[in-house]
Formats: sequence, structure tokens, C-alpha cells
Amino acid sequence: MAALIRIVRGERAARKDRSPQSALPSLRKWFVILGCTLLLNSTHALAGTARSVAQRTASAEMRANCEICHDRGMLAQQRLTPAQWQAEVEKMRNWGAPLPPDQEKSLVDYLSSQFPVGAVPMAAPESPSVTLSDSVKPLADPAGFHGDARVGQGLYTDACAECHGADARGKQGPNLVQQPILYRFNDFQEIVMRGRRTMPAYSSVLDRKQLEDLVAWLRTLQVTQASGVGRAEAHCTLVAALPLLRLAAATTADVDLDAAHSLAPQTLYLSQCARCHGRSGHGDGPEAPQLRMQLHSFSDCGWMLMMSDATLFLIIKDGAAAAGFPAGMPGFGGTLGYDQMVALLHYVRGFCAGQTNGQNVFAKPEPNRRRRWCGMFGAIALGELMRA
Amino acid sequence: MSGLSNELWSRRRFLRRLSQSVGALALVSGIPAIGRAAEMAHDRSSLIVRLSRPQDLETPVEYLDSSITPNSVFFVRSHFGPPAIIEEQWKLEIGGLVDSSRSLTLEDLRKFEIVDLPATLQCSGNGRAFFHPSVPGVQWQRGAVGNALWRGVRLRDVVKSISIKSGARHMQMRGYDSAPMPTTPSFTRSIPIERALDPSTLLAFEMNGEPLPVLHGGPLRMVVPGWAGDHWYKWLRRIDFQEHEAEGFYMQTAYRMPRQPVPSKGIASLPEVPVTVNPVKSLIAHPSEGSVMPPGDHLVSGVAFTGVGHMVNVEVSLDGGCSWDRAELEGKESEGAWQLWRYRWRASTKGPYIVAARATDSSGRVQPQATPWNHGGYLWNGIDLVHCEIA
Repeated sequence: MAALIRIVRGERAARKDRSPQSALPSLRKWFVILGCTLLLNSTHALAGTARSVAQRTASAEMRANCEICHDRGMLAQQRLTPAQWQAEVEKMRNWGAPLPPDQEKSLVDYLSSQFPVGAVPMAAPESPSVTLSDSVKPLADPAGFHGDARVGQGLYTDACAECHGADARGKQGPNLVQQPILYRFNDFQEIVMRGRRTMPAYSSVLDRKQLEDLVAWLRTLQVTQASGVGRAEAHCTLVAALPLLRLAAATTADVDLDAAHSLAPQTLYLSQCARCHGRSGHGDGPEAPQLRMQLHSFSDCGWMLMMSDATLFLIIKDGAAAAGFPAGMPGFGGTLGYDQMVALLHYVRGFCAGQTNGQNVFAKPEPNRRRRWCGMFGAIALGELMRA
Repeated sequence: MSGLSNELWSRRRFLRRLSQSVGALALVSGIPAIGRAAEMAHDRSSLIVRLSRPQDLETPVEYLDSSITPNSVFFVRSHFGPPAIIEEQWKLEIGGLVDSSRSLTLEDLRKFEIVDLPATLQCSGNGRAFFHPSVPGVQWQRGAVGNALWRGVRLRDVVKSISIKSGARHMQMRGYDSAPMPTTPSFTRSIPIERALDPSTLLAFEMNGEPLPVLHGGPLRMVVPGWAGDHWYKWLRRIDFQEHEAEGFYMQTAYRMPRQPVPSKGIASLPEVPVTVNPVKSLIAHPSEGSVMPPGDHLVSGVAFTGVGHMVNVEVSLDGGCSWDRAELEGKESEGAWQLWRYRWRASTKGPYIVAARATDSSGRVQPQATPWNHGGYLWNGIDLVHCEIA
């Protein structure tokens, strides 16, 4: 995986000074990526059989709902009966955990089976105290830091308010008002650009200067202000500079999950993608009208045939800009695991099942693999030619 | 967790074990010299991470063998983690049932008489992990407690010039920390006005000679000696005098206990009262759990504290509680602060031992075998036990 990431990073760096001459080495890298992903896939298939789909789904629920505020240790150190877990989960839902009601039972079952009464207590790790206290200390801003709070306000409304709330006091993402991270710019940058837990990466959406503006705006908010004071205004002067922003992590809360969609890939798709791409993949999700571009339909099978698995994987992992598309869609590589991203890729391919074979190299090798490989190489070559 | 960090932990444990055996060897030559030798050999830089977000950190019980717990290893607990505070902008607001509300800067506060007070701070959930059946919450074991020298001003001095109206019965505290979601209750609590205006209740801005660290509530926190940590309010921003207790989860639901012991299956309707005064308690710092020592003289030592009055007695048992011997209490008693105790164990017979400690305070309260179960797992003070071996 590390090798793949390094190569992908190299690819992204190379893309910055793209010219017709650079098309050929770039093409070679794509083949390397493809080879790596195939290799990784076979290892993954062996490991993946051990965990049931239901457990993976519940584990994802825990990540998406509990770990917004708690670290995993908070759950792992408990030894509770199913009734106690039920009470805790209900309490947390009332406190703002965005857990859809129909996922409550599976989460309670999971927690009760993982952290039951009578199990050996978790051994707590030890950490040097100095490191821990240092993690909340304010640090000097990097040289040249110059954030414009007025600009940041508009950026906040477009990029962050959806999840963190219009007044930054938390919604699905946590409260940001007077948090120590605002005075540790490098840590802030790390989280926003690379994503963390359920928050996607914004490296293809925001640049460094815009991060400074954002921080400058967030620092103006204070807990002493009544909620709603200092609210980011909907009107935003900077909108034009941003190709596409209102994309921040969708949550399962707004998605009506039915029984057919209870397995992990569907849950993932509905929770992470459907707000924009739509439940049926037509690019017609509830957020789509606010985007300043038309999203391709996943059931446009001619288009999907052009898209290699490697390209789709790259887009899911690093965002649309990483594959040369207009910036906007954030990357999920920092928040989703490899198997989850592959599951999403597989699910997206499923919208054309039966028309393009419906299979992909991440799932299982097919007898007619050669023909499809040719198709993929053709698509890559075509893509490179178009860019050149 | 990665293999590397595993290795680091075990290395740290190994170092601690090693330092303990160095201490144990030194013991043979005479007790008084040992404390310092062991202190120097100890690698005292780690805390037990109960939670990393927000940081809830427990002091290893082996460190609780000095009258002052250093800030660097003092336990850390909060509900929502520290806020970012710009000290120049910091103020304390005083309002509610008062003739005129006030706003004070740190400089204003320093104009009142400065008081230094040693006092023991214990999280009300310290020992929660020992309750059976288990209860939800941070599973603190023994070290969510510490003793520090607090410097600050008396709350009663600060409000002396403000006339509090006759109807005021409680004082509500609010902080700069805030909950992660708007639907999550804020951490706000109140204390009865008599306790707030007791001369021992401080607004503290220094801890062990340093400006109050942000993890410990800096720039200003409440110090309420003898009462559990939930009253030692951190990152203090506002106090209000009012007729009733604070509303909200952290006052009306959490930090409450049944007035009398209840069966662990729970009888929900029994009347509950706020958790307030620490019960009498002793903890064994040495020997450590699981230690193996050679025959000879060994020091059994630790701390003892109580919420009201002072310590009168700590007893040690080496036979699982069949017989008890009196330990020696060190230093002068001081209400609200812990006292060290020590006991010379002449260990001649090889074999496994259970070392137990039991404290008695000036009100005649004695540490029980086990604390009656309560649904929040508060105020555990069961007799402290350590398993070790003479080999």
C-alpha cells in the first residue's frame, strides 16, 4: 500500500507541470499502479475472509458515529451488558451522534459482542506525559501566515458549515469554537487536507492560503458569544474562486436505508456518496443541484467503460482533481480503509452490471480478463491523449 | 497499535521494574535512604492513557509516594478537553443573585490575599473499574488522584465586596470548554453556597509553583478541598449565585449517588444526592502489583486522605486481612491534603502475599472491604490490595 501511495503521490506531483512530453512516463506509472493494486488485491482477499460483512458494517458505524467525539479506547475499555450498551447508544443519539435509527440495533449488537461483561479488561497504553500536554499547547503560526477572516467566513460557509454547523458549534462534525487545534496551524492543515476518521480530505478543494483564511475566521468565534452570534453568512464573496465545495461528508442520517442496502458496500455508498451522486448513481443526489457542474451518471455505461478501476480508485482515494477532473470531490483515502474504497468502487461498477460485465479487477479475475484489460489500457491511453 | 509502541511500553515497564528492584535492594540497607534512591531510579514520565480524545490520563499508583504529585504526572480528566484561551482576553464574570455583576481579570484577582494550600484532588470516578457489575464510564483504577500545592485567592474574599442576595443558595460554574455537538449538554455544575464561601475554597491560578497548566484548568480553576474533582471546576469563565442547583445532565443526572446502598440490579426510583465529600481512602504505592522481591526488609508505603477531618490511622495486612498492623503516618495532618504512610515489612517467609491497606479518619470512618455499588461508579474506597511475591 505504501508503495502505491508513493507512486500516486509521485503521479500527483508530476501532474502539476503536465506537458505533452510528460504523457509517456505518466502512462507508465499508471501501469505500475494497476500492477500494485492487483497485487494488493490478492493479499487483501485472503485477509478479508476472516471478518464478516456485518461486523465490518458495524465497525464502520462505530467509526462514523462514536469516533466523532470519542477515541476507540472509550468503547474498548467498557465491559457492559447489552442493556447497558443500548442505554449508552440511546444517550449518545440524544446527544447528537448521527446514527440512523435503523442502524442502532446492529451497533448495539456489535458493541455487546466486542466489549461484553466478563471479558478481560483492555490494557491501557502508557504515554509520556510531556508529549500529551504538548498536544494542546498553542504554537506560533508558520512564517508568512496571513489569514483573512472575512474571506475565511465565506469559505467556511461553503466548505465546512454543512458538517460543522453554520455557527461552527458542531452538527455532524464536532464543535470548532475555541478549540486548541486552531492555534496549531500545521495540525489543522494536516486534518483538513488529509481528512480524519469520517472527515474527507480537502486537499483537492482548498489551498494553503484558504486554510489560513479559514483559521483566521474560526479564531474570531468565542464560547462567550451566544450561539448564532458570529454565524457565517450565506452570502460569500469568494464563491467564484472555488470550483465546487458543498460536498463535505454526507452522513447516513439523511439517507433512507432499506433492507437491500444493509450490506457494507451499499451502506458505504449511501453514507459517503449518495448525497451528490444519488442513490441510483445518476448524479442526482439532494446536494447535486448546488454543485456547479454536472456529475456523470454511474449508469452511463459507455463512460464507465472508459474509466479504469485504477482511475476510479484514485478518484475515491485522492479526490477528483487527482485524476485530472475538475476539483471538487474530496478524497476519502484518509478516512476510508483500502477495503472500503475497493468496496465502493465495486458498488459503483454495479450500476452497469450486465452491460459492461459488471466485474472489476479488484473483485475476482475473470476468464475474459484480457479483453477488458485491453479496454482499460485503451481508456488510459485515450485519456492521456486527450490531456496531451 | 504498532509493534514499535508495544516495544516502547514494555521497555518503560521494564525500566520501572528495574528501578523497583534497585529500590528493593536499597531497602535492605535501611529505610530512610531508600525513598530518594527509588525516586531517582524511577522513570517517572508516563501516564496511563484511559482516553486520548479528550485526554483522560491516570497517574501510575507507584508515583503516589510523595507529598506533592508533580504537574507532569498529575492525572488529567475533563469531559470535552481543554479550550483554546487567549490569556489577555480571559475574564471571570460574576453574576446571578448579586447587587451588581462583576468582571475580573487575572490581575484583578491577584490583588486579593494570596493563599497557598496543599490539597488532594480525586476524580469522583477513581476506582470505577473495581465495581461489579461493571458500570459505563472511564475505567479509572487507582491513580485518578493527586496532591498539589495550590495557589490562588479565597472565593469568599473575591465576592466579599459584592452583595449576594438573600435567596442565593447555590453557585453555578461555567467554563470556556464546550461540548462537541450543540445537542450535547454543557459541563456546568453548582455547589452549595456554604461550601463556595468556605475559607478553604479557592480560585487557583498556580499549581506546584507553576502557572496552572491548561490541562489542569488554566488559567483559573476551583479548588474545593475534601470534595470530589467534579467541583474543582476547570477553565472557569463565569459564576452565578442562584436559588437552585444548576440544571442539566452533569448536575441532575451524572455525579449523583443513592443516599443509601442499593442492590446492583438497580432500583431507579431511590432518591439520589450529588456526589460531594471524598470518603476515607488509602492507596498502596509500594510494592507494585505483581512485584517479586527477595526476603528481607521491605517498605510498604502509600498515601491516605479523607474528605472531612484528617487521618488518624492506616493499617497494613500481609495475610489477606486476617491481621492488621499499624503503619506510621508521616508529617503533620492537614485537612483536605493527603498524608504519606509507611510500614516496615520484615519478609522472611517466601511465597505469594496480598498486601492490604486500610485507613481510618478523625470522624471514625474506616475504609470498607468494598464500596457499595452505585450506577455511576463513584467514590470507590475499598481496601487497597496488592499482590506480590517474596522469592
